[in-house]
Amino acid sequence: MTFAIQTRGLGRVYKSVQKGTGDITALADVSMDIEVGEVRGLLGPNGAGKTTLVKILSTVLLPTSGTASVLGHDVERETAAVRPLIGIVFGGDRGVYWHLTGRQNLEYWAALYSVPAGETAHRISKLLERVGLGERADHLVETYSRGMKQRLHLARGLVGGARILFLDEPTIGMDPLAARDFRKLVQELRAEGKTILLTTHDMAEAESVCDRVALIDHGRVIAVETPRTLSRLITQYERVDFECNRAEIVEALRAIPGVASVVSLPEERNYRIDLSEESATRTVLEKLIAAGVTSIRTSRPSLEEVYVHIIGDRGLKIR
Amino acid sequence: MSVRRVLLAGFMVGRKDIAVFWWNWKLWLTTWILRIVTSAATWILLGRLIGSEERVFFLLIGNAVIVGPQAAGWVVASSTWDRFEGTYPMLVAAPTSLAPAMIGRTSIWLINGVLTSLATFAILVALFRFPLRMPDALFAPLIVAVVCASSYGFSLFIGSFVIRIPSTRNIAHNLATTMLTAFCGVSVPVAFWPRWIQTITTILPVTHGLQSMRLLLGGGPPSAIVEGVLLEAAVGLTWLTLGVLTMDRMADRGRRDGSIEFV
Repeated sequence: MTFAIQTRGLGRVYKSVQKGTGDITALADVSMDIEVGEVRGLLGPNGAGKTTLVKILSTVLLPTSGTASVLGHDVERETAAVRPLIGIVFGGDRGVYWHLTGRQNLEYWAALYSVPAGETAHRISKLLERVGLGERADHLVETYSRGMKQRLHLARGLVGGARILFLDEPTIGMDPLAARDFRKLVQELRAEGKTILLTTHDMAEAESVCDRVALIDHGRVIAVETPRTLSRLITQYERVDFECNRAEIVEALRAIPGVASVVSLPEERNYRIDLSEESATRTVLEKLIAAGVTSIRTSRPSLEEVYVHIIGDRGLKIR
Repeated sequence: MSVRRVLLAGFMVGRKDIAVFWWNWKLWLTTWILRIVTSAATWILLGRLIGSEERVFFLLIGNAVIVGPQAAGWVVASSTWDRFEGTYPMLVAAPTSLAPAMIGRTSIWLINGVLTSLATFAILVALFRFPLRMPDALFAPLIVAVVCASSYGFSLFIGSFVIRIPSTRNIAHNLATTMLTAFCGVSVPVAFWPRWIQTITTILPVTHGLQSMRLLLGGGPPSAIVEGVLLEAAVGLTWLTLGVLTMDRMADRGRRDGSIEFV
């Protein structure tokens, strides 16, 4: 089977340029298989190695160990075969020519990706309509909002007919509405069978668009799971929130096997039970109903909680 | 891949680059050319003050020609603009070699160089009532174009290094321009300099072309004029080839050392 992206023992070490400082390992022993048509999230804090991985896969950086291939082509030895297959989209204001119009930007990149001349105009118009820039296609990019620039970025990544898209923090700095629209576009691309590797530290983004998420930190992949499975890593199973004013019931719940913890929530008389065994859910719910508790809610932890739990509450520190 | 198409697409970007400096030709003429002519005229006035028409001839041709390479020298700085715009990594990752895109984008400065030199020439000739030998003088624009193209190749070569360290772009541009202006026979004859500098000037742009221009306008033998033009073209072509080769090499080095940033 040919994977869209495959890495084996992939690593990147930066040689130290300052005396007294050691080499920096940006990526270490990363092995992953991404299937064709999959949307894979790369989730991790700043400096975790997400962008390094994307750079290697997009042929902008050479690995110092291991191998990586894109649709069966080695990124180091077969760059000419890899490059027409990929599109890079990154967040922020840069990466597009501000003094050109949106259409002219795409015309430039279409030429670089050898899009047949007869097909270029039609493809560009279609793409601009698709990303919602049809009416502003002939306006200078410097007049675009951040969200519009980002959509143009995406169109640029697609103009060459890329089968694999690398989206490096694409919604960074976007307002929530623009980010939502952008994610919708990503979902449409998934429906078309594009393979997408999305780096982000936005949990909601990873949850809403990714088939699987790789948690990455200190250059290593810690876990690769579906967003839902990944969530289970904390409480294993479900969580129950309830409202109750009887302390003896709360104490009784603590004694049930499979109850990992019972904590008070900020709201008065509200509690949260984290369960470590699936079978405990039923017992807890039965006990609560029997005690006359009617305000009960079950949920799974958000990916953010998984993220903080696994990577650690590091705050703003970057290693 | 159609190299011609990439060159044209790159040229479209370059055209917009220059429009940031001068929005229209009137602005170009009244700001840029005015400044260049003023500077060149100062040198020629010095020649006139000395009272030597021979000096005036030497300085007028030298200073009218050199403004072309000086303007084309902006290639050095503009080579780095993709790094500042964040488009460089995408150029590296594109299926096309970097060179056509870069040449396409920066070639606007070659055109600017040729037009700058021709406009300066025309104004200075009129200003100083400089007698032109006709029809020989009709070939002058051709020599100007060759000298500017040759300097463009040289600047592109320097630019291909500067891409890796964009902060050096202005230093490199100024050093290159100063070297051409000082040593290649613009205001001071090449023979004035020590032998080793004279040797270096033979592989620099401007030297041979400028010599041909003086021969052309001074009634020199056609064979010597053609020889100088061909040498100038050969020098330029060599630098251009080295620049093209270096550009992709530098991108490869950037891939190796990790200096190509995404933002």
